[in-house]
Amino acid sequence: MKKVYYELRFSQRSPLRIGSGGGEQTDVDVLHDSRGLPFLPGSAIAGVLRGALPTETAAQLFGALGAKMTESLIMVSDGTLPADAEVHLQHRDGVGIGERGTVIPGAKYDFETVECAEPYTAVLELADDVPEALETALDAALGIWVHRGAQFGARTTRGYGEMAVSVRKKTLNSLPAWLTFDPFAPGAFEGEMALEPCASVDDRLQIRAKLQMKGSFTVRTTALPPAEELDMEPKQEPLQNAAGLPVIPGTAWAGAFRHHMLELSADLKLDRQAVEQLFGSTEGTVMRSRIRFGETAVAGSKSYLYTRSAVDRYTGAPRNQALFTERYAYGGAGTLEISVPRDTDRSLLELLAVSLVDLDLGLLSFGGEGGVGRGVCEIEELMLDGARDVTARLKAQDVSFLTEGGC
Amino acid sequence: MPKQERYLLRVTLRSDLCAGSGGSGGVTVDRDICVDAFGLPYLPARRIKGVLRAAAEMLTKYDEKQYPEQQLEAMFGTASSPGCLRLRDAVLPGIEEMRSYLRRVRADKNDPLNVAVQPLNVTRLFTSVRGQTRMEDGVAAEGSLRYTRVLNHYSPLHPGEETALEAEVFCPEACLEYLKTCCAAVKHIGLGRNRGLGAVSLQLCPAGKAENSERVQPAEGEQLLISYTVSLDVPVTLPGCGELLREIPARSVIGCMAAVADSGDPAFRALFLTGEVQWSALTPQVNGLRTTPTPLMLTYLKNESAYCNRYAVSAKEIERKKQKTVDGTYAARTEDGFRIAVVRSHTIYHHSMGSDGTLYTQESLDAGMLYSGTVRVPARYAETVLKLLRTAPLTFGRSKTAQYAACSLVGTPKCERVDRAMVDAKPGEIVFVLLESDLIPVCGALRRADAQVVRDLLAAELGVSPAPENGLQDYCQFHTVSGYHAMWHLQKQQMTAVRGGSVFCFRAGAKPIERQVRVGALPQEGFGACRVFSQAEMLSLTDTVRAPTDVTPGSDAGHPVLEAALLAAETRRVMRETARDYEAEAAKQQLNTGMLGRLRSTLAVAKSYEALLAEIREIPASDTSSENPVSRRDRALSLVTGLYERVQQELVCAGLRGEGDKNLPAEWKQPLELLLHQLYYRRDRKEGAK
Repeated sequence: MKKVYYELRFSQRSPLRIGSGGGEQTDVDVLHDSRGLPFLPGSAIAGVLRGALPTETAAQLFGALGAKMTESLIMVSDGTLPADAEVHLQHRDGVGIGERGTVIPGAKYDFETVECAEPYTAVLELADDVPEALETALDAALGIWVHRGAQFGARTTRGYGEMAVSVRKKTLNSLPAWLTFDPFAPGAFEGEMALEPCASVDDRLQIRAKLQMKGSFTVRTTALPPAEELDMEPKQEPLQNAAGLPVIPGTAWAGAFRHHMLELSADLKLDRQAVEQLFGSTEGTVMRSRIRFGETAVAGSKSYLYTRSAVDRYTGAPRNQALFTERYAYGGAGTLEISVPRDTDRSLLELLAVSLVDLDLGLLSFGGEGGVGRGVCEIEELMLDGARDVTARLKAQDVSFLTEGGC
Repeated sequence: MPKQERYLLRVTLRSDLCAGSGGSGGVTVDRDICVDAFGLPYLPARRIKGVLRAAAEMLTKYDEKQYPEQQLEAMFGTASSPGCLRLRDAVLPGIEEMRSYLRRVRADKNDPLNVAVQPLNVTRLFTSVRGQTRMEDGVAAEGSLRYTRVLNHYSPLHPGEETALEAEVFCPEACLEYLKTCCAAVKHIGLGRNRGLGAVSLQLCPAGKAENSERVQPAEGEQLLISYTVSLDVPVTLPGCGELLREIPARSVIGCMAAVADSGDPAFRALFLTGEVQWSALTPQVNGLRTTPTPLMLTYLKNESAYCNRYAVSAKEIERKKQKTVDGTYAARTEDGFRIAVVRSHTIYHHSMGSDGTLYTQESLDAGMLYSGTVRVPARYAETVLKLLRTAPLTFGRSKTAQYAACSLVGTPKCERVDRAMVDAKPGEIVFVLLESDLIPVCGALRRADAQVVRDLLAAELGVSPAPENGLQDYCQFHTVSGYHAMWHLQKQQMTAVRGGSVFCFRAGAKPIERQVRVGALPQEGFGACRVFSQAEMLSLTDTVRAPTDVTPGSDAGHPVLEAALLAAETRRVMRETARDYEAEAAKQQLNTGMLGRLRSTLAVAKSYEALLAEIREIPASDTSSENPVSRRDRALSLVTGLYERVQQELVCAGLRGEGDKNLPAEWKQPLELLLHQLYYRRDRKEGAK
């Protein structure tokens, strides 16, 4: 007999949004297991893994519905955290921004995200009669996960749910060994070889920009009192991750780029619909975004408080009760990751390239108060697919760097 | 049959588990799990047996030499013979104590946990509901959202411990090692086992003897009547001819006893074949009394919500009062009427696996009911019968080896002299013959089924004229009875029988009439038991009401662990409801979204309620003015303290804590989190609308 098990460990690279369907703390609360810890449902892991395999192979391994219904040959457990894992739950806000860059009334929502340093562990078990070719295909798909990582949960196209993956495989060739094997026991995969990363041709173009902040910026969230300056009472402060670094979420990047590319397409009389399709839509026919933006954590920034007051335009005097304080981050460096399918329309790639040039020039800003000069950065280095440096072409404002040489 | 030992099979959950019931939970849950009448989850025995068998087949496939097919068939049986393995549903350890506790609290309307012990709330304590959608092109496919209830991986009673269920298993000691290996080979069970659910580990542990070993001394006398009571430990399915039987036929009892009796013993024929020993059917017990099929002269008047004896009233009195039949019910006789019980039953679904997999449902009698029966026996056979009652595995109906059929003797069988009383009826007075069991009418060597043959038979037995009485009506029904020869795997011959509960009227003759007579064929199988009433007795039977069937008595001991878990759940429920009710009051503080968001952030990091209040007090009251005399700090304080005062009041009102108890429950943050979310949501909508 032959029994094959895989131990999958998922380590979070970005916050995870995995909704429970309930909304008591926020509009979308995080899914918890019966210990109160977040987890990755086996169905979600199976779904993502299935999507990573060729259609034919996936149908054979994961089963098929319809007239030729077949049972899944693979059993996928939930991805669970150890009992003593420290979990950082955060309430985040989102808001729809209109064409003029202002908030759309009633378009505010909130949700829970989770960050945890401990890995989620899941077990995959292959049925005992899986053909060798399918096992090899599965090894390859898992190897690609090890190489690139995987995304789980909601809004993966906006940087949520990024996971690094490590895999260990155990093959049992005797009945007594299998009978005594407990895949969930601690150390069950101890000493087993880890699956090697499998570098394959990626059908997505990976863009990585190293950013240097040029001034202050904020993606606002409600302040966490008490601040050290209690009497200043900050009302808003920049969104931070579990490590305390200010972050620019993928949604903020996507909103800024989408708005900028729509403006450019209008100026250039290009097809507006194509841009909308690239960024996805929830109105009418629901479409998934084809472009992905990662979350940028800004290291080395400093924070400061800024107190100001609204001024009555008629008298020029401060308005009553209009004194307020906000916290901003200043300076620092981070990385923006964008990926698009390689078969994206050339004009859209050029629009994206122009937007990157504008980001470098400070013509495209992110976060709040862009109108008063916040959210400006410079691109220090621009790499494609992790190996091709196109910084010089960006600086020379040659907007063909995404469309030539590999796309 | 080799001697069977009792073991405990421990099923430990290694993930959430969905042992599907085949039903849905109202409109909110598409796939629900199996729970008992108290809401406590269980794992059906046939599902356990199914996975054990599948594991055994896999062992045979990989090592036929060590695990031959014959061993598998001996353990699990074949289509034509039952295996030696018997097992019951896997239930939570200490289930009987839990059920007793829940029954007691449910009966006490003033108990603070009366709401918490309602079945759905008990189920919620042990379960979660998972939502799942199918993805198409990266977005959820329309209409694909499904909700599945799962039994939680971790126990609510023992935090941090994996949930475990235990099933009683009976098998010969010689098969123990093989069964242990099968248990080790079972890694999953239930629905969704390919997608994160149903990972389990099974261990077989020894268990103490559970058989009743009480000694019984039979009374002396020529003919004895042995009365005994059994408890339906699991649901029982008794297929009849086109109907669900609600009593356990005497022939099923005989089959059980004959299977363990020594067929070489000269007493065997007397015990089971010649009619010297007469076994009765087992019928539901009411108020400690044995019941018989409800007499057909009784009718239920729907408009009056009352039962009526049609011999005791004129036809005009019950005219247009919507008479309803009492078919399928059982009645215990009292001095002046009857206590009528409706037997509880339920529907269970099963799914056979493999290429011929089919889904089917089965109606079964509820577990927990008490049934009682009698054996009329010559004194010389009394000890043998008592021994059989004590030692025979009491399994009745379908699926004897798993999930169904298992019953156990309750208490000690009672022996008494047979009552040979005579009916107090003078010649010429009316007497009524009530069939307390079905009757197979025979005319010579032939079985005949018409009312006149029945009257002739009864008249001959009583020594009266068979002519019908003017103005008095017989109430008589027929139905078909059958059975199954377990030894030869043959359906028994179908016969037409007069249904128990039928009543016939005669005029008494000169011959004294015995109170109890037996008429017709197959007396050894309980057929033909009749009771005779005088007219005065019949007319006095007017006090008839409905009564519940007796159930297995529980202990009065509480279940502190379950009680603590239910208390915590009920406290959470009351806190959440209070928070919802408090929203209108809290909205008067008019905190804007900024302040609400700030409160929420403060709450998230607060270590205690006092720490939360201290943090709020640190907020500068810089926003006061002549237009705004109350600062947002004070309004926030009012909101928080007001909520928790209300929470404390409601908890005291609900009886969940004492007046003087000022400590907040462990999950004290929940109501404020919920309230802030509600206020935040509404306020945001309001500000957005502005």
